[in-house]
Amino acid sequence: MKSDITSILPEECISYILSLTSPTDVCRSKLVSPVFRSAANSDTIWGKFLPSDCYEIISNSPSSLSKRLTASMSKTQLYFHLCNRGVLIDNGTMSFGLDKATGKKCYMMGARRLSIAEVNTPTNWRWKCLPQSRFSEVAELKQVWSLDVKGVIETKILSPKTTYVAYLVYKFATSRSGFDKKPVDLHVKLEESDAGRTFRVFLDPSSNIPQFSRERGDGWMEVKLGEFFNEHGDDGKAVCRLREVDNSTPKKGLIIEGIDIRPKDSR
Amino acid sequence: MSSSNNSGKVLKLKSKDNQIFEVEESVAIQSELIKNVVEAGCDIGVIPLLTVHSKTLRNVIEWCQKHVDYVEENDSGSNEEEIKNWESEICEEGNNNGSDDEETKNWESEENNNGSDEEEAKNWESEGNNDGSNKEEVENWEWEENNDGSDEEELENWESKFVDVDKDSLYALLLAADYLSIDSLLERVIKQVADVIKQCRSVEEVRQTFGIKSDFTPEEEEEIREEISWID
Repeated sequence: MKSDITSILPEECISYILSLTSPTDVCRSKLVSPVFRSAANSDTIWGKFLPSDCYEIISNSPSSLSKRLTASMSKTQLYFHLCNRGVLIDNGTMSFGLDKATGKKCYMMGARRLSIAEVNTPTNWRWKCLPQSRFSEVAELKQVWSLDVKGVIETKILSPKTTYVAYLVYKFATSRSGFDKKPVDLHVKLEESDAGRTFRVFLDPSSNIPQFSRERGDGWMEVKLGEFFNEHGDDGKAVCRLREVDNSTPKKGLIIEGIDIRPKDSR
Repeated sequence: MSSSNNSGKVLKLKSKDNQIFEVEESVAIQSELIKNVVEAGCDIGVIPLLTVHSKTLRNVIEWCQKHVDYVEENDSGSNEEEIKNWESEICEEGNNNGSDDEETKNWESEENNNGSDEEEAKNWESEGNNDGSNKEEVENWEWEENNDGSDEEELENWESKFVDVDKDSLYALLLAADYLSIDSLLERVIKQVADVIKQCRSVEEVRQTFGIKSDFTPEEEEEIREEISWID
């Protein structure tokens, strides 16, 4: 009859042991027993899973409420807050969070931070405030002939040794056109390399064509732009792009929240 | 040549079941607890370790001895000292021009060896040359240069075998390492248990492996499942 580890080792020890596993393993182990559940909620564990520069990144937050909230949170609370909600940084143009399963960094670049062709021409695009967006503004397409959306992120702010996937986060206005008949080109690459595939998909396909976009669960859709591997963060910038430059069809009714960058397999 | 401050002093450690172990001070002070006792001057007679059974203590001592041996064999600090000693000895010994065929062959870059001591020392330094009287030092130096990686690996393998024991022994080691404050042992044992947990494929497997009884009510279990439903 094997001895019960929880009756031999103090709970602190169990927490220390769990901190050497992974966020997913720790959460699963909450089901093991009441002692494991309690040990799994220890700040020691979640503090270890937070990125080492986490507080530095958050201190960049424009909102003092946000700063106060995060300052008063335990490490455990902060970890899950960053996973579930994220924090706005860089003048509110970017959202910073963590991937729950691994603790790796995630970022969403808001529409204001992207390079969108003709975005400042009022007949083409307008800036809107939508309550379901984490950002103060989203970009709504009124009409363009040539669609070109680009987001650029520095690899040095990302977690090392990680494959990242970039998604365009968007939805359609009640009336839209141009996206069912014409596909868009999606591409992600590290600026210093020529690698990176271009995918061609329909954003608004008719029912007999495969759907590449999916619901995110927060009211928005997302479509994968591509992926890249970040080794040490010294590869310069990753460029994520969506284009449809067939000038024969006008495009209307696309609403862009931003470009989401997160570790592969995170959802 | 060894850099350990082995004053040869031997400490007496008493296990919980009253067995006395005689251990060299340099080995025993791997334990912060014992180190503090020694520094406080309380290491007269026998040091009682009230919570550590002799079976575990024996293993702990073996761990400490291995780590002391490893540090002595690989202390790069003493190598720098060796090189400095070697250089100054060469200068003192005077002109060795031509007395060593190997040396002569290795002076490829310098055609005209005028035998000035400083120049010789510099050549020898850059070529790693053995002038015979310091052969042992040079051998160790070169050996260290060439074997750095594999020694670390050897230690890791040894440590892995050391912690490959039944659960009860593992817990005893953990508690002893914690009580005695031996960081290297504590970390290695904890990592071992963590690795076992990572390999378990289900909650039930964790329970079986570690002898845990779960006394959640069905409601509590449901609550937790809800909480971790994000895991696929």
